Amino acid sequence: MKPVTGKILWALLASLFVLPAAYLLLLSFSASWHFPLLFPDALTGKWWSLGFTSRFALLGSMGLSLGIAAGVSLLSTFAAFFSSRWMALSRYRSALLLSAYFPFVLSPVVLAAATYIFFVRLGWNGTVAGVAFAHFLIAYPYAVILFSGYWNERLLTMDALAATLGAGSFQRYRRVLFPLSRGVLALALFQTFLISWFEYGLSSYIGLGRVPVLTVEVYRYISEANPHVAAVASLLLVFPPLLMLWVNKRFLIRLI
Amino acid sequence: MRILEKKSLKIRYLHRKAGLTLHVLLTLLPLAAGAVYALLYSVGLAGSLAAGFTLRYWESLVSRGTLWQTFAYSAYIMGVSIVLSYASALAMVISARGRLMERKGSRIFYLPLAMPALVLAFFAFRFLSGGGWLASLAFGSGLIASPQEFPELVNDPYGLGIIFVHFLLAFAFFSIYLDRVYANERIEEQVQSAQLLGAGYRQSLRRVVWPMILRKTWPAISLYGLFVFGSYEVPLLLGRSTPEMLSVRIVRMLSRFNLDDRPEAFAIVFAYMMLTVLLVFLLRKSKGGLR
Amino acid sequence: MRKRTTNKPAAGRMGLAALFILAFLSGSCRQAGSREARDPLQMSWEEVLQEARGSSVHLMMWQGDPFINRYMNEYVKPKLDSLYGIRLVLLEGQGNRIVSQVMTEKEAGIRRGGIDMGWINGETFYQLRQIDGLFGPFVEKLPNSRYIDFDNPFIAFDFQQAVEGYECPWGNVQQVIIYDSLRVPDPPRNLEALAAYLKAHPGTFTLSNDFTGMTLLKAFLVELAGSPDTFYGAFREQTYLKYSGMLWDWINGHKKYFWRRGETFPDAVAPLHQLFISGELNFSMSNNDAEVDNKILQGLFPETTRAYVPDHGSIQNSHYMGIMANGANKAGAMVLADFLISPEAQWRKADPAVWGDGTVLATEKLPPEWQKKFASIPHRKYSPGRAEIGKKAIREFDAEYMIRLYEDFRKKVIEN
Repeated sequence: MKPVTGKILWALLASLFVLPAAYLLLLSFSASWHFPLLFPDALTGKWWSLGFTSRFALLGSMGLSLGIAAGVSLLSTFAAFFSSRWMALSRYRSALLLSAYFPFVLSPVVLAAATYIFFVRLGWNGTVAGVAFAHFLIAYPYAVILFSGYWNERLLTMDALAATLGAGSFQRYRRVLFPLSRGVLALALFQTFLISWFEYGLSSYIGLGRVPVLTVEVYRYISEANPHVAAVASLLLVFPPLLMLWVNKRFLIRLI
Repeated sequence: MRILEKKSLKIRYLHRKAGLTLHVLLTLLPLAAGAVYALLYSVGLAGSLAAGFTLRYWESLVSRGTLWQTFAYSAYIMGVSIVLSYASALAMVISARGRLMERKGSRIFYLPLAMPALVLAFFAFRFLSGGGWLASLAFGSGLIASPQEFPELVNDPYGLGIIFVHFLLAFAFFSIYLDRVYANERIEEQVQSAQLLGAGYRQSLRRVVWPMILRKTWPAISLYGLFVFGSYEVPLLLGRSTPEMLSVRIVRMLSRFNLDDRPEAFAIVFAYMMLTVLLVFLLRKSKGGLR
Repeated sequence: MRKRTTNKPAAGRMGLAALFILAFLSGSCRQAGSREARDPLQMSWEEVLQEARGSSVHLMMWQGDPFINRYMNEYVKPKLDSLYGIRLVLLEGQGNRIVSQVMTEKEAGIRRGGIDMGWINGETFYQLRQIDGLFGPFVEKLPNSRYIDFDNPFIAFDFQQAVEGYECPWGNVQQVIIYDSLRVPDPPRNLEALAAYLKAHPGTFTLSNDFTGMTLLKAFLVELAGSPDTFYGAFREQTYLKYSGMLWDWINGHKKYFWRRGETFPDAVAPLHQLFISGELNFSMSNNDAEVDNKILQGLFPETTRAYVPDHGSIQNSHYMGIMANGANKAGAMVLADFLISPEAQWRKADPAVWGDGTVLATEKLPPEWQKKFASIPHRKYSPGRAEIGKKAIREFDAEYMIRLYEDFRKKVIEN
């Protein structure tokens, strides 16, 4: 590639990637902005202040989303950490891993539609716990797959060694496995957090509109033809992942 | 002592078994239960419309061609999005010789990954529609005189808006991912040794780089493709009334006034589930597939 | 010692596993824990109020309009809480979602469902009645129901079906076509004029593939048939086939002049409005005849926007509140319904600056001070007068027509 074309291409890409966030930021501060204006006619902070009033309660939604995502992330990461270790030792290792791929590749909203009747039966539809459990059903297999390549010979040998030296299983997790696995655990925690944080279809289906997580609210404002508040809510949704990008960009590389 | 040891081993074994049982329950049970229910519903054996075994819902789906249409349209969106994004990402990575992410400012490649599909779809609508920002730009520069003259980029027949969003997400992902594969697999060194052996640059690309990268990234491509295939919020906002992508169609049919649509929707659910099961098995069988 | 540490989590996990299996397979948790509430129809109103105090009511409603949402969130919610100690929870969803939810709950054998009350229209009423999904008759039980204008056929009948106390009227509206008088000085008043307009300005008109769009199609049917009387009374297959056939022919004949050549349609009114605002469309429409005032006040429509009813007339209908037969909180829902038809709530709602929804009360039955208040509701500035468009009002047809229109619009127009 010639340096000039390369630079142009690079600039083009940069603008394409930055554009969505920049556009939404401007939209959230614009009094009104429609065809054929290239830029909003006036800037205002009213949508942001409005977003945090009791009517929109975006802060509450954000808290709810954060809570659900944090819970799902913790639970699925640790559950998957244990089960992937057992799987590594199991005779049926590959079959067990395969079973994690099914919920992982299925469209979450179709998973919700297919299992909705059971959620209703259990009285879990329209509840925070139900939505969190549904998120868990897709975040957990993801974490299992993430960990599946992690349990290599070396790690298992170290674990076995610790056992031979008399460490109980609790001690082995605390003293050997967790410290060794800090990196991959952090990765799984953040990525399962994002899976839950970004999930819309499943949340809206299982939530029955009673669990106003942030994505559901964004959709609501879009369909209410209230683009400015939708932009505010969208930015709230983008903020935590951006923070992650700043902390460690590796956390964002995930398949879903 | 030895008895105690044996006992503890046995307990550990049981404990592992319980954990793995739980694993199967969490991954397979909801799916299996959902699939069985969907199947029963679609043949008139479950649900409030159940009136004994019948194939008429399946027949009606097949005869109207809706089943194929939905699957074909989803496959089309998937194919175009993946091929475009993968090819462009690969071109970028190869031309940067696997050092794309070492460039200054390469962090912006991560930006789309920090955005949920829903938000990107919302942006795409505001950006690409006839009354959107690009149209305003075209109007300002005198290219169009009214929004009606702006080409259809969202809710359009070819799914351009949907493809745009999926492209943005997948291109960013593949760029970072392929760049890493290029470095990890020491592809640059292979290229150089191929060239030492007398291969031209193009030839080394075709014979060395391409096969190596493809073999290594095949599972990721397939999995990403399956996500695009089942995507929901993007076509929900940017798609048109017909044809619809799979997830959108299923959800719409499940909440329609015509109650006959419910068994048909469950038939599509079942068909889709079986298709994914089949694909996952094929993927595992294929060379270099799922571990 | 070691034994205990390993044993405990194993037991815990076993227990959890068992719990999930049980939960997924048996699924009768919800009923087991719930107490069987007394039938509020057998209680005095005082007892209903008492029963409702401290409870939550889950109301599923369409939330596609900021004004309506604000009315519910900033007026109804706090009032209901301060007056009756009831917490109102709004769930997003239209009629079809309500029907689908109630059906799923029936299929799951749930006696205490997730929705207590729904904001419904004729076709939802019809379907919910068919699956015995509605609770009642409860309307007579409500103290404020004595003010309801049941002599008005537009209120007492919902899609030709007698309401019979199974849903409580909430508002009454008439459909209007919205246009920008700057862009369209002389809007088309019948199908022929519309066809001419479409040919001259292709791509500037469409209808939403939802309740509002189907309601417009009914008015088209009336023009094709020459009179609304053709469609009054019970559903007649022959009538439907004859005139809907003409309708599809007309639409398909002019499809290429529709927005996006009639290959796709906006799926709700909100996107239709947005296309109108952005200038892609020259027309929008609404089932709320005061919509133009409401949207100009929000700063969304330009001040030159106007609304009208074409010569073929337009549907006037009422919208209602229905209580679900399997709702968990019927007493609370009844109190909410009573509050919504109270003179104050109805009066507020009728103000174009709040919502502009027509009242269902017979104002002459109200105490004099309320009569005065209703008489002094600020006039609409941009929307046509209710009395004026009321002359061209068409009653709703049997619900079956609506359901068939939905179905055939998809099969014969969209998928054609």
